[in-house]
Amino acid sequence: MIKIQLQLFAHKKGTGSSHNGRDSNAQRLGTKAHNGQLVTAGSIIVRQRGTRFHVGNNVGIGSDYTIYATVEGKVAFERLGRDKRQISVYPVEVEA
Amino acid sequence: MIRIDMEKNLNGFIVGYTVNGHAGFAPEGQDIICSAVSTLTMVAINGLEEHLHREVSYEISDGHMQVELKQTPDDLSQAILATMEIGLKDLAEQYPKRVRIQEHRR
Repeated sequence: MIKIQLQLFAHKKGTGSSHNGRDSNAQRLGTKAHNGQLVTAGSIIVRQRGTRFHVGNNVGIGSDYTIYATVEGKVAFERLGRDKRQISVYPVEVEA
Repeated sequence: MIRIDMEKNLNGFIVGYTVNGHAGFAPEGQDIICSAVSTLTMVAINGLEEHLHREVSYEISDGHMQVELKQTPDDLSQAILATMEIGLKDLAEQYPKRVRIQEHRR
């Protein structure tokens, strides 16, 4: 004698599985030094993907498009042409 | 879709049946088509075993049922199985997208 299972041929709730649920680690991109901030030579100003900011004066760009200062001075975010932006570092005159 | 396969011998007697799939008519607990198929196919097993004391082998799991008559079919076992088949055919007619029944001779 079997017990009648009325929902033997019904879709069971919650048996579906999702194919999502994966993500890469955060890459901590973004600006590390802000406009007017004093930075030392070699310090990173911006971590970015591609050239959201272009190279201005006294800065260098790494292979991963990281922009860093090549001299000690103040950071300046400037416009480049109509719709681009660049970053420069200007040495600060030390009062004698 | 629930797929039902009726196994018949050369004399047209039902010797077994297999039921696979899900009706997908409504969520679990509210699927009236699933419960109709479940009831018809399970009551037939109980009728054969409890009322006619026939030997029946069956395999039942979620969305799957396979039943086989272990003894030579006779008029009494056919009364139960043919009644079940009539009910299943009626369901398949009313809900062609949810229930499909096919006959196989062996």
